[in-house]
Amino acid sequence: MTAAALQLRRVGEIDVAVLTGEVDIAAAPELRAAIAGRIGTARALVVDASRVTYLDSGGIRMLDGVAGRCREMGVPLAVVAPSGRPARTVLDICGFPPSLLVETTVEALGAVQRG
Amino acid sequence: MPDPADTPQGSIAPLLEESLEDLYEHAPAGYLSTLGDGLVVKVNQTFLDWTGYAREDIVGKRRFQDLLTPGGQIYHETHYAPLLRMQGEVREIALQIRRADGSRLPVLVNSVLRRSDDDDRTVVRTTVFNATDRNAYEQELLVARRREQAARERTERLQELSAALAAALTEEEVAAVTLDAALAVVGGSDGTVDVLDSDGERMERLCTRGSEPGADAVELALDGPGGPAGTLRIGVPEGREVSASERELLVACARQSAQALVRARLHAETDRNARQHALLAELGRGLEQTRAFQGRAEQLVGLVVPALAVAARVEVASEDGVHTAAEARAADAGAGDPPTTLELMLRARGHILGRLVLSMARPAGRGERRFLQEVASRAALALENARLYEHEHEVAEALQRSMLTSELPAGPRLHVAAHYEPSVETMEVGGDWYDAFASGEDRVAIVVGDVVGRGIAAATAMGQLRSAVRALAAAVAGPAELLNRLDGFVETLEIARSATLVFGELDLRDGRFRYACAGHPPPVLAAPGTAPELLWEGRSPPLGATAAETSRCEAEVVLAPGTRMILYTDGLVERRDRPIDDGLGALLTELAARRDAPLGALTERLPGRLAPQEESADDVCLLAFDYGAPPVFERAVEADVGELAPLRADLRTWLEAQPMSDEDRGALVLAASEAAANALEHGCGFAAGCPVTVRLEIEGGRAALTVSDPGTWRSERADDDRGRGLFIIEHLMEDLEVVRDGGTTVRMSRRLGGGAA
Repeated sequence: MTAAALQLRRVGEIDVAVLTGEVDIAAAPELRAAIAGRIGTARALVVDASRVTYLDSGGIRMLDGVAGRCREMGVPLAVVAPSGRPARTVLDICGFPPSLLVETTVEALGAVQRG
Repeated sequence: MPDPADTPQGSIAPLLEESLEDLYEHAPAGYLSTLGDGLVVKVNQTFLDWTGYAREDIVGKRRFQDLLTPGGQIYHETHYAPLLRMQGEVREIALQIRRADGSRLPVLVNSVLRRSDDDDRTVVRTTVFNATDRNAYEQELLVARRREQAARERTERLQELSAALAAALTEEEVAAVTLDAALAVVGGSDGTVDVLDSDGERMERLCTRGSEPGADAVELALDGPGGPAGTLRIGVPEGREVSASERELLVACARQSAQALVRARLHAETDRNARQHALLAELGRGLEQTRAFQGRAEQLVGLVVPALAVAARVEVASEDGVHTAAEARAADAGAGDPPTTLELMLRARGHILGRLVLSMARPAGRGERRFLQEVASRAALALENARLYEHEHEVAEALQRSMLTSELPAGPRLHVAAHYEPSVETMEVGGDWYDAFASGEDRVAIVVGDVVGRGIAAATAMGQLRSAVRALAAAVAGPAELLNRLDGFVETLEIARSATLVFGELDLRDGRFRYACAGHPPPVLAAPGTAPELLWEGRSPPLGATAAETSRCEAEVVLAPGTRMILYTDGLVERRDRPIDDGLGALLTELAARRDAPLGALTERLPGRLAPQEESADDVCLLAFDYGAPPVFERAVEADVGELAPLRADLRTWLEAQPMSDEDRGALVLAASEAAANALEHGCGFAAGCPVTVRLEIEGGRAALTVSDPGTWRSERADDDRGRGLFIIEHLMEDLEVVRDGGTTVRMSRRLGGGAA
């Protein structure tokens, strides 16, 4: 088991939030606050969930919250969740907007730049 | 009666031989005889000489009252004449007689009314004394009396002032009392008092009454010996002159006030010194409370605000630039004038750590700045010590962490969890360690040890001992021989002497566990279906002990699948106020109570449950493992969602031993965790002592999952998460069934290999 972790990076003018480990109901509130803190100043946001080993309803809610905030602020968002990975399965079950889901980070950077 | 001529004064006898006539005419007083209406009928020469009238001008022609001044005439009419008529005489009446040349002659007059024996005719005999001298004296007397009155008033005023000043403690109070007294003297309403501040840098307004007095104000210096230089300004009402005596009074007021200011300032300084001493003492105590840099920086700003500043922050310089380490702001900061900023270097041992930035309601004076410098330099030293300490601490911690975080062995038959908790009291790294590694094919070595001492030295020795154990484990025949070889090793490593450890080796094929304890607390064995017990076999003294001449011994137990074993250092069971036996008893009780806790939740929470954080003086190290996969997976989580991750870890290990696809495993873990989260929230409301049990059993190609709690659910879809959680469960599992019978039980199943229907 690996505890959830968040790394915030900047690629050009795009903020990239890299999530790792188990993003569950216990870890989500803190992660959400940390990511939301970036939205106010971000031009565009990419959440990389490709290395998330576990995602539950709490994690989905966190991503929903981030997506809602981005929409409000007019910040383009893309979530990297490759097919077959644990995060993608749950995202698909919960009907997370497919338009926000991409396979790779490169794809994500392109998507938000077209924004 | 003897003849006066025969007296020794006989030589003056001729002068005494005066005629009565002469005596009358030249008497030392004026004589007048008047009739009832005042007409002068007889007058002596003395009176005529004094007044310059001729006898014939007066006698039979003028009334006595005609000779008086107009005021005298009125007085004569209203007092003199009626008194004379009533009493028959009047005495010592002061009047003024108009001389012939028009000038006035002040006189004292006595009159007697004489009535003739036969008829009612009356005559008034009047004596007139020249009062020119007496009048002058009286004038003087009047002036003197006025002066005395003024002096008395002045004394009274000054006495009142000094009484009021005695009651005034602060400079402001002294100024107010003085100003009010001075304004009363001139009947004014506008005035100010200014003094030079204690640093002699600025004039400070101490008191204002009314509005700023104009340019024509009376200005008085308030310069007392050794006291502050100051100015008292009094606005004088228009058209009012300030007399010399009033001015004198004002000067006296100012003098008294200056003395009172000296006293008030001394008082204030004594007071301030005492407060500053108290503050420095408090700062010292506050900084001693913690050894952490951050904590000390917070103590510093917490003390400075609001006592010395409205806001304060500690800025620290590092390679990445300047950042704020701690900040405090008074609750009412922001209101009022914009504060001024004072920056103080935090410098210690020739090293600049950063700066203390203060926002103050008004600029600090020289004295206050000196004091703040003192605060800053003391704080800087404490911060520098903390920095050095933390640096050393970090090194030791990094060293220890690097040895404690290596991957623990994992597999379908073994699940290991470990936890290290540094001492809260000292925040120092100890020499405790745990380790688990493959020591051969299907063999896993388990170690928990404790090197005496703290800090870098202990951490280093621990590292060496740990490496020695790893190297020896594969080479020796068993735990006893390993301890023997370690005894030899610590001969060369002084600090590792007296280290204690428990070493065990588990055969994953059959569950045989051989172990040996060198002066270390006994491991706990929790076999399925039995109460946890202490393993008291295989004991011998600590490493390098001279008594260890006798050879080391070992013991063996066979673990049934589903057995849990706990190894730990003495910090877990030892407390100053409790015998170790009680600590061991408490450990067994706690383990029995949480028999089915997820392994990771158990190791993380045991130290806190056995010794509340603030009481743990020693660091604690513990390692627990579950051996084998029992036919049924059963765990109980409690109180909060933090236990869900350990639950999933246990479940994954158990599922590893079960033949199924990774997709099935992932689905079961997700469903179990979501269902447990639901129960924690809705069944138990995250309460402690409300266990949520998770049971998973595999039979006939189906996985049956049961999650139950003792509570009754208030609502199944209270919020988004839970609604979504159920949605996920429904997607992954089938035959979802909720049974309420005292508690709540949720049952569901999944057909393996095929996913949900």
